Amino acid sequence: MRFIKTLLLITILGGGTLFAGYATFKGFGVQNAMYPQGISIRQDSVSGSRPGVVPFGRGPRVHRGGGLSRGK
Amino acid sequence: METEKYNLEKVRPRPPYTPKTIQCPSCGGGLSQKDEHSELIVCDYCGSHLDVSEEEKTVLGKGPGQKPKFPLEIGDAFHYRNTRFEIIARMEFIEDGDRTEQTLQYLLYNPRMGTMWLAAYKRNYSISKDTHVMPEDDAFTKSRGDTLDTHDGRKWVCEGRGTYELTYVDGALPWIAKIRDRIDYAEFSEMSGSGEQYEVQSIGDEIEYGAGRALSIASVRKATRKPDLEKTAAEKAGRMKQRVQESPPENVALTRKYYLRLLAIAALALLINGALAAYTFMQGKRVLSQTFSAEELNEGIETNPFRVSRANNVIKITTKAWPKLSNEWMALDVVMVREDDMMIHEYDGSIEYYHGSSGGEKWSEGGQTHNLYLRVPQKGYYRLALGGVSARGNTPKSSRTTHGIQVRVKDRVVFPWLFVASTVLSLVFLILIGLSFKSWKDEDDD
Repeated sequence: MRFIKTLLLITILGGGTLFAGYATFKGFGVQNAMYPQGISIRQDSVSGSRPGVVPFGRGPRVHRGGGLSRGK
Repeated sequence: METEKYNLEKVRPRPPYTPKTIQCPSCGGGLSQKDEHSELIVCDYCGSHLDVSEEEKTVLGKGPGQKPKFPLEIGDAFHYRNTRFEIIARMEFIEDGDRTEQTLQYLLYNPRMGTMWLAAYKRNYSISKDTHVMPEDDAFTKSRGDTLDTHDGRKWVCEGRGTYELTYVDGALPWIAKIRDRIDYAEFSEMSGSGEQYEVQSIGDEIEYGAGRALSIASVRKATRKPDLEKTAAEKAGRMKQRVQESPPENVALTRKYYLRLLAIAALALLINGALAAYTFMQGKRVLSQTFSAEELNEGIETNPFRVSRANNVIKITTKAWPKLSNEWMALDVVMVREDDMMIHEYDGSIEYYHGSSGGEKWSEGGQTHNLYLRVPQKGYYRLALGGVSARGNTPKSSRTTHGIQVRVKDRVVFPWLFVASTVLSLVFLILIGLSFKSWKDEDDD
């Protein structure tokens, strides 16, 4: 029983370490660029409803509410 | 010359002691003093306790009326390592006044080999012999799992200690034992797990040391030539092939080793994962660090260009509200733009931080920073365009910000949180094993 428990601990912690290494190597938790080829932000190339780069000419932002508005 | 004269080179066995016959001063019964070291003899006929340490025998009194049930009798043989011993005394000890905590001890005697002790606690037998090997520390300060060195260079692990009380004695003992004598004991197992035992007993002002080992019930049956020893009626009748095996006594040295092994594994995993987490945190080179005021952010800002040194590098973009948010939210839109004015990524880097106290307890939620780990497909120069608004937590809409922003970018980073999670997992296991080890050590103190 003790041998099995020791083996289990090695499996969990060793497996955890190996998985962390593998996942880090594979880039888990890292986002890929949304537009790898890029989208032009020049005014003449804007198409559709996109108003250009986000920070410019933006309307008011609506907040979903935080701690206070949740009644804390 | 002296050697020849006294024939010292020849090893001769000690001549056996010839038993003496004495008469009980109380009832006149004839008793045999088999061991020359006996100081107390309990009369077989009237139960009187006799002091036989002096030439004149003295009656010390009578023992308790109720005799405990001993599986072995006075005079029974016990064969151990090709030597026939005989049981010449029996004692019953009770710990903490609890009759289930009963220890039976038998004094084994052989005229050439002297005496040994056979002890039985809940069908677990052990045999020991007096030793002059002393401990280097006070054995009575040790608790379960602690180690003890003896002067012969050996190491022992404490099984436990306690105090028991003599409740019955018969036969012949090498000291004047009195009913209700209290004996402090500390028991140890050899550290390598060989099963050898070391024991220290304190009786009044005297301290005795013993060394021995555990015996299986099978070996005790063989040694006593009593194949039915400690068998139930059903076992004797053959209705049960084998009695359900009671758990053998714990070898504390092996248990301690087991816990230390688990602790070492968890500590090693913690060390490796902690080092890897620290290594991954330290990776990367800062390529941008800029601070913008609220006024600038209200106008919309672009950072200085920063360089991504290789294609598919992971960069870390950190945005931090400045001054700090306090029950406020900050909506932040971030766009990453390549040097040829092509947007490659956009994201919502909103930050919010709330705190307060509720029911006397302080709480907080959210944070002051937002981090993004992003894989950049091409190397080259990039810049960030940011716009944000902020407001108090109970304000649903805002079109301006009262906070500025700090922006930092690191190139060639590694995502560290998986190793952090693995480190936390190892730490949790280390703590759980440590608590379990402590609980095991404290069990004996209950």
